[in-house]
Amino acid sequence: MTDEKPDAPVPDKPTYRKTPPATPMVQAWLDGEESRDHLATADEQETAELWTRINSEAAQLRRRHTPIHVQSRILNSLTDLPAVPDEPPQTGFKLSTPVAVIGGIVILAVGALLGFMLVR
Amino acid sequence: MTTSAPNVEPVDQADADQEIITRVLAGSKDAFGILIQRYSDPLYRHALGMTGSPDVAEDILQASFIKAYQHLSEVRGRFDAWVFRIVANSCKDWLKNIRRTHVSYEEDDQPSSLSSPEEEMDRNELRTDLEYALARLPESLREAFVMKHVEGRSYEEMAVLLETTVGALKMRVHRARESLQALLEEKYA
Repeated sequence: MTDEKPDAPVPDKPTYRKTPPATPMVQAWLDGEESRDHLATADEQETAELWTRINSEAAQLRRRHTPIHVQSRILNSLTDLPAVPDEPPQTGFKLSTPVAVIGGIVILAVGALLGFMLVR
Repeated sequence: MTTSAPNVEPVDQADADQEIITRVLAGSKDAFGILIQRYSDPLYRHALGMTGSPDVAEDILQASFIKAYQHLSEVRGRFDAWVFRIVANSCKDWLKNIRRTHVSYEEDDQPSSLSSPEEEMDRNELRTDLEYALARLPESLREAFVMKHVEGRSYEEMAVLLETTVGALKMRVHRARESLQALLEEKYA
């Protein structure tokens, strides 16, 4: 025996009933810190049911892989790129010849000046 | 006593990556393919979760790996965390530049062979609703939710990749769940 009502409207798509918000215990369960057995109230169980469905859908997405052609497309696109040399670390600063000559002259001049002053 | 290590990957994996990087920098371009093969799936899923579009996810993945190749000599620390940040930033840039009202994971989606047609319809319904709600989450909440629920990462792993604390991430994920649930309810209110 069934209690079907032939006149009742048949929904053409699933409808959502207002689900209670996730309590800290539900959040802890979703974080994997609590077992579902610890969800004591009917509201918590109802919220958990919604999240079980959401997680199931998320798990489907988790199984997605990069389309095969994408990996080869990336590798092929590297062809014309410049190779990246591993540059040796720069130690200190580079001394160019003119700077070295001028620096030498300045040092000599200062030395001569100091020497001249000491002699006097 | 046991301690839970927050490592995203074994240390020897990071060492192996470093060896490959050395080979690439020495001129072996093909060696870079190993890194692409090793990390493209999780990075693709992140881009897909963030953008909702397989085409955009592919483009972001390609651009990110090219950028990684060009700047490989600048890698300091773990390659996987470094390249993740390139992808994550690209996703955020895309979200900032393009405001989309509708996104879909279904452009190249394949139905599960285990489901009945009715189950498949229900699943598609929920998937559409999730997309709707995810697309409306603020960027940082969406990122945290995608990493936790879609990519299935631990909080410790997320903290390493996003360079933040476990506590901050828990808060983001909790807020994302609350917002997501509210958005789902709002749609059917």
